[in-house]
Parts: sequence; structure tokens; C-alpha cells
Amino acid sequence: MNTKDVTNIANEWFTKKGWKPAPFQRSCWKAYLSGKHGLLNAPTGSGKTLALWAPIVMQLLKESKGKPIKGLRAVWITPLKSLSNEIKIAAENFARDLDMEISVGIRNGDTTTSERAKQLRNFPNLLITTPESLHLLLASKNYQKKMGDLNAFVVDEWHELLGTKRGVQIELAVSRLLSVSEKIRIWGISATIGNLDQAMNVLLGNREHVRKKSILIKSTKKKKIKIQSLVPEEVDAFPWRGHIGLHQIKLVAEVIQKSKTTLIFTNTRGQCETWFRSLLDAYPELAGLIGMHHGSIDKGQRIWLEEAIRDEMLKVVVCTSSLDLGVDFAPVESIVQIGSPKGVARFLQRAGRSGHSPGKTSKIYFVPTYSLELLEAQALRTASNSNTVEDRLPYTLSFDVLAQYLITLAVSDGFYPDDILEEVLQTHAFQYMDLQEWTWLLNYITKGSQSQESYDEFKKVEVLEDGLYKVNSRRVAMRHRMQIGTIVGGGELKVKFVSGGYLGTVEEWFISKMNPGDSFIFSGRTLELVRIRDMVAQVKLSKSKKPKTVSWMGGRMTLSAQLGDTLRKEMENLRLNPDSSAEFRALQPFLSRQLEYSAVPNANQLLVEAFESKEGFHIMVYPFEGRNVHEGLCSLLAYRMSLLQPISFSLAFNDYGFEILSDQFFDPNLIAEHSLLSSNEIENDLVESINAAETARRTFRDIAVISGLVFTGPPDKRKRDRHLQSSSQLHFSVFEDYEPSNLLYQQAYSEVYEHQFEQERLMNALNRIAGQELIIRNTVKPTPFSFPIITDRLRAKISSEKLEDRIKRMIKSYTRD
Amino acid sequence: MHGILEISIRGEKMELHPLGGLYLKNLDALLIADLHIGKIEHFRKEGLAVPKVAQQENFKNLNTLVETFAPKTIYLLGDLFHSSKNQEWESFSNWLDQQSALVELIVGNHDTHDFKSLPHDKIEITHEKEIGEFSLSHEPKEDSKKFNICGHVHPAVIIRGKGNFVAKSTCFAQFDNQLILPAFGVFTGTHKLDIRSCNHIYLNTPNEVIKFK
Repeated sequence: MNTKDVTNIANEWFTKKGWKPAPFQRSCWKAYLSGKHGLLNAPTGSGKTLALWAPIVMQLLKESKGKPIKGLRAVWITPLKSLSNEIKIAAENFARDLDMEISVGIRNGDTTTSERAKQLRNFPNLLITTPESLHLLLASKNYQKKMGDLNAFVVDEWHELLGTKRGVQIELAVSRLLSVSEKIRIWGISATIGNLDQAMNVLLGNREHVRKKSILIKSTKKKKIKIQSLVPEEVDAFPWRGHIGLHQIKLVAEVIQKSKTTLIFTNTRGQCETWFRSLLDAYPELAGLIGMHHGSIDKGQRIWLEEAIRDEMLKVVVCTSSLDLGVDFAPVESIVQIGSPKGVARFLQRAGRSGHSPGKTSKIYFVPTYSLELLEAQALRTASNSNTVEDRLPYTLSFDVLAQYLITLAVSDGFYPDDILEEVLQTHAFQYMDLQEWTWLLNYITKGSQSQESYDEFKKVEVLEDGLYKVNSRRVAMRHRMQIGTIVGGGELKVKFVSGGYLGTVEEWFISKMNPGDSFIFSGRTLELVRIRDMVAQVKLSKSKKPKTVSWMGGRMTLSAQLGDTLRKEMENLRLNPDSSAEFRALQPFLSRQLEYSAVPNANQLLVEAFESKEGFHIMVYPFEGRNVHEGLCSLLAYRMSLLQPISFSLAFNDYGFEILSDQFFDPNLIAEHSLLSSNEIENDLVESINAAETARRTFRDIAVISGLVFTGPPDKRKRDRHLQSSSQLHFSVFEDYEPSNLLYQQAYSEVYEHQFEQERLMNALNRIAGQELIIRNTVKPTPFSFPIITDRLRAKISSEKLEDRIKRMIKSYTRD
Repeated sequence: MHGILEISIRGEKMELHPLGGLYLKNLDALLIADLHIGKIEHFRKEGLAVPKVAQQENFKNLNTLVETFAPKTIYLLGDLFHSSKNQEWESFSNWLDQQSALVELIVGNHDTHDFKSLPHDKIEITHEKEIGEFSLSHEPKEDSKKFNICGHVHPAVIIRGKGNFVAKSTCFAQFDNQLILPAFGVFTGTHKLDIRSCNHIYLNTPNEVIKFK
């Protein structure tokens, strides 16, 4: 059979189903069958799976000449385990209809040990897996032989992986597979992001012959989206701060009432729990028709819920980003977004979860949780009309991931450094790695240090006589396999009923603040903590009237540059046309109060406010750049202020501005007099300030785990292993004092600089500020702008005082806990 | 000397050193707790790369204390070794060889190891010890008749001040009948104490011991 024959067969299949292949599907078939690599840009629910799965089957049909297909021929990567089943069914159906015997298997964290072993003996033809499980395969013996016949390597939802270290894992795997299998084709599928071209180049790497044979295919479908803010009639009652938004519950209930199924997106799991409870309390008739879905809830319950949505059994589901991706929910009619979605792309993605049938308009209701978010609603509308979407910034020089990868290869078949170096240099992530860094890494995995020690007991990767790098210790290999991956969970505790029955997980720090007998809301239930045993929080149902709501540390998202930009424009628009939208009208009382206490800056102004409270002296600055950039800016400003006088600060920031708080007075006029916000010497000052602000210390935690510096095996393992547990903090301190040249230690700083503070955005912000007029207002009390920031309790610190001096001063003003 | 804090318990004068050691003046004795020698090497042996240089720091700090106080006796309050015998034991033996003071080890919970390989004439090993007004142990002794000085806990406190300030420091923690020393070893963790539960707290910051409470 030739290309034309197999294409006809696929066309027939579509006709039989009463469908017509979309143009982008045809383009994919053609490109794949002619041996090309590429990236497909298509949204969920558009038939993207068939765009690539069909030609994979067609190619096999072409090659097989009627003989049965043997061995592993295609690997399909999905970032979420929960999507695997959906893809498996679609793939199996298509192959069966074409009378092809193709076996499809799933391999991820949920696959049983016996199933895995079976797969290793006899691989399915298509394997659906995650980046972590793929690397585990690379850590298994004879992987080169098993994967040598691969035709296709498809990465689904590549945009989700791109801006993470899992993306680097994929890049490294691609660099290896391109050498292991001669005829492999590399494909990615991505939703719309700002940097699609780069997304493709990162996936494919820099090999000339791959680049030359690559293509970017875009589906041209565009969805219509309608955005409506839920604004109460009494706008004066609108809160200045708050991230729960419960005052709007009545309006949300009306939306639920008139839609078949509604998805309510919240930004945090804590918010999700609260909304679920409050809806149920206020509208008991929803019992049985309302569900909750977030990342810490038991998996079985989540799967049940997803099916229930599809079967139209539920009227409303409160969820977090856990439902951003994946499977189509046809019955969903309305989407409600509580609070700012922080980015245009995420907002559009969520809006797209409703009105799935082609041509239908997606409808999304936006619930601002406090006044300034009303402005965001307008900004989101503007951005989605003008098609402004965010970039995803790929990670580079992630030495922790590379170290892990090298040990992975040493665990399986072993590797020769020269071969692997050549491959690694072809990846986007490591194209600028220099030889010194490579040598450092090899020393790190073989000697655990860089110096030539005459006698040392360090043992990990060994160099055999012929130069092969290999792990021989079974214990080292086992520990490494347990730790493969780049997602580092915080200390998490399982939540179980005393009588058995698993509910989900909570972070250790939350539970550690509670005593037995305390009650909290989790998984929609009010629970009482009975005891904590072996990393399990044992609970029973409680009737307490005052339960706490579980909070999770992670998941604080930053406003994207695009949204920030649009937001500043809307701010100006608001000044000029205050009556042009419902959101603007609702903002008026808030604005007039801000104007009364302080000022509302125009596009050429930067507002600085200063006031004193019983907490100390506050300085507020409002650049409207998103919390990440503000974190960088306020560290920088605080550091430069601290150069002028010995002083200690605590810092707080949100998407609109930041606060510098000290127990000593600082004259805000010095900011202008000493150009404390200029971009001169920025690199040096920022590194210095990060150093003091300890952000790197937090970042180092993940690096230490990924690179294998610390071992985080299950706590109930043998005692031997327990003796090996140490905190990354301890390591960080030791490196800081004795080995500051350590590459992994330094990586913590560069990651903070590039990803945490978003170096490029920060520079742009500083340049913009340089052209702005600084208006300084001394106010008597907190202003509407400042209120949400000063009430934020998660703070960073910066200081130019010696610890001793600081403590002595603190003792003077010491207040008991 | 700068940085050292002198206090007095049960009429006995004692000096607290920022590195975490305690010197009993009248008894001419230096007390040190929780060295955890061998911990770094133990980690390295299992493929976890803790910098080797940090090992030397332990001995450097020990020598600083010995030079400062020139004590007649050195009492090590347990958890001297973190793991079974490894290369760091040898370094410790060498250190012992250079000491003119008498060295006594009060055995702790990590010290379940075979001490035979240490030079007998240089170190004495006991489970408990009474000197002057004090009883020395590794773990805190609750029923002691004499004032108990011990280690084991690795005490630290978190202090909060105005301006939403938080700092953490290791410390000497004093109770009605007890003084707990900070852990001396370089690569060791800490345990957070409730400030309210302590009678006195002396913070050993990098350069100075400060009375906090």
C-alpha cells in the first residue's frame, strides 16, 4: 500500500462516521506520512488526537504489508495521567475500525507493578505515558533495543510542559530517542501560546536534519467568546480586598439555575473548598447535584466526577486548574471564573470548556473578588478581542535535570560521556552549556565533588575501565528510580478516616498547626483531626461550627505581562471614559476614595505612598506589573534602601503593587533623590538582593531533590534510609559557607533571576518607570490600593543589619507570640 | 573574650561560647553536645554529595574552643558519631591524639557503635556523669537531683519583632533544673522550642551569645 491508498482508507473512515477531515488534520497526515517532524497548534475538542494518531496507524498499515505489528512503535506523552484513558479509547477505536491489530498500553504512576513488568517483557505498540514514566523507561535495562523501532513520539499539551522542567526532561528524551531510533518522527500538540515557533524548536532540538524536515501546522478555527462580569447592584458594598468572592454567591446561583451544567473555576484549592461548602449551605437543594474537583482530592473521586459531568448527572462543579486541561465535557454550558485568572491564555482555555460544539459561542462569567479586579475583567475582554496571548518561557541550563538524566542513563545501560555530550548540546536547554560545566556534572555524579581527594567513600556513578559510566550499586539505583521526576511535592500528609477510607492529601505545614480535636473543611466535609501517624492524618466527621479551611502554599499565580500591559491601558481608559462599561461604573466609589486619600496615577506616573501604623513604617509602590516582577522590584528597592542606612524590611506584593515595611523610618523622597529604581547596576544589585531575600533558598529545595542531593524516599522505608534524610536547607547553608561555586547552588540564583523575577519583564518595567513621574503621597492611613497588599501575610525579608544587631533591637521591642 | 557570655547557675560561673560550647570555670571543664561526626561521610557513601570541606569545619571549631579555654577535661555530651565507622572516625582519632586534656564521652542515642577502635587511653566512655553541682547526660534527664546539663535536642527558637520580622537562631535553653546545649556539629538540623516553655534563652549567633530571655 502506498500513501494514497492509506489516505483513502482514512478518508473513508471519516465519511462512514459522517465527518469530514479538517484541513489541519489533512495537513498533519500529509506531513507525517512524508516523514516530517512538527508541531500542531489546535485547541482541545478539535480532533487533534486523530490528526496525529491516524497517520501513525496509516504509516504502520503502509509498512506492515499485512503482517502483525510487533514491538513498541509509538509513544504518546501526556502531562496529565487522567487524560490517558481518553486517548487510549480514541486510538483503539480508530485502529479497530481499520482492522488493524494494534495494542495500546498506559504506563504512569498509577500502573501496577505487575502490569509494568508485563509491558517490559512485551511492549504494547502504542504506549501512552508521562514524562516521568518515560524517564523511568530510560532507566530500565536494554531500553535502546526496546525503543529502537519507534516510529512516532508525540507530546500532547506541549504548551503545558514547555515552561517547566518537565519540558527539559522531554528535550533530553528526544535527544536520546533521535539517536536510538532512525525513523522516529517527533511531534508536539500545543494550544495557542505567544511563542509557537520557539515551542517547536525547543521540542525538536537543533539537529540540522530534523530542523530541515519540520513543519508548524495551525488549525484556523477561532472560538467566539462572550465575557460578562457579575457585578452586584450595590457597588458601594464591594470589598477592597479578599480573594474568596462569596458576596457574589447569589449572582452565581442564578447562572447555575439557568444553565445545564456550570463549571466554577477558582484559583486555589482553599477557595474551591470554601465555595463548594458555601453553595451547599446556601442552596441545600444542590445536594447530589454539586461536585468538587481539585488536585488534592482522591483520584478515584475525581475520575468519578469527570464521568458524572459527561453523563449530565451534575448541575455544577467547583474546580481549580485541575480541570483546565483535557477531556471534553459536552454538557457544560456556562463557565464561572472566581477572581482573576491572571493570564489571557488560561482565561481563554477555561472559557473554551463550554459550548464545545463547533460554531457555538463560549460564555464565561467573571466574578471579581475585590474592586480592582473589575478592571481586570475589562482588560481580559480587550486582550481576548485582540488575540493577545502569553509566551511560555522554556527552562535552560537546568543542571539538576541533566544530573538526574545522566544518572538515569547510568542506571540502565550505562553511557559514554562523549556520545551523550554531543546529543545534549543539540537540545535547546543545553545548547550553551560549556565544557567546564559538563565536566563539573560528571565529577558531581562520580565523585560527589570537584577536588581530587586521595581517599573518599563517595559512591554513585562509577567509571568502568572502558570509560562506561555505570551505576553498580543496587541501592543507589533503587533510590534513584524512586526519585525520578521534576515535580517536587511539599511534605504532604494523606488524610484518612480512622475507620479507613482515603480522602486526599494536605500539606504538612497546615496540619502541623493543628491539634487533635481541631476541625477543618476538606474534600467538602467537616473533619476532626484525631491523630497523626506515619504521615497519615487520621480524621473523623465533625459537627463543628467553626472549622478551618485547608490552605495550600503553592499555586500563587502572577499576572502575565500581556494582561498587565492591557491592565495599565484600561487604567488610563478608566480615567478618560469612566462611563464606558459596567465594570468601570462599578469601580467609581472605590476610585473616588483612593483619590480622596491619595491619588490615582495616570499612564505617565508612578504612585508611591508612605504611612505609619502600629506595625511600623510602610512604603507602597504601584507599578501594575504582576507579582513576580513586583517581588524582584521590591527586593531591589529594599536592597538599595538598605545601602543608605542599616535597616531591615519585610516585603509584600500582589499583582498591582508592593509594600516595604520597616520598624525604622525611611524617607520616601530618597527613592527619587538616589534613583533607587534605575536600571543601572541592576544585575549586581538584584543578585545581592536575592541573596539577602532568601528566595534562592526556597528555589533550591526542588533543585536538591531533582539532582539527587537529598533523598526523599517514603518515610516508612527501612531505617537505613531514614538516616539519609536531610533537609535541602541544610545543604544550602553548607554550600553557601563552604562551596559557593557549586553549580546547583548557583542554579538556584539563576532560576530566581530568570523565572521567579522574570528578568526580561523586570528590565522592561524599570525602563518604563525611568520615563515616569514619581508622585509621592504621605497618607494618614492605608488607601484602597494598599489594603490588599498590607494584609497579605506571606512576606519576604531583606536586611543590611548584622543578625546580632537585629536580634538585639528586636528584643527591645519584643512582643510575645 | 568578645562574644562569650558569662552566666551563673547554682553559684557556678560558666561561659557560653558562640560556637555552642559551655565552659565551667571552677571545674575547668568544657562541655560540647551533638557533634555528629561521620554524618557527612555517611551521606557521601550513599551517593549524596555533601561538600567534604564541611567536615574540617567541625575540627576547626573544636580547636578554637580548646584554645580559648584550655580546659582540663572535655565532656562530649553524646551523639558524637552519626553512623557506624567510616573515614571520619580516623580524623577524630587523630584529633584525640593531639589533646592534652582528658576527653570523656557521655554516650547518646546515635552512639550505638563499636568504640573499640578509638584509643582507650585518650577517651573515657560513660552513660552518665556527675561533676560538682551538675549531672551530665546526653538526653534531658527529668528526675535528676542535681542540675542537669545535656544535648540531644538541637534547640533553636524563632523570634518575632516589629515590622513583621522573623529570625531563627540556635540557642542554649535553660529550664528549672536543666540547661540544654545547642548542637555543635556543622551538618546538623535544629528543633524548634516554644519560647514560653524556657526560663532562659541564650542565642548563639555567629559572633556573639546574646541573652534573649
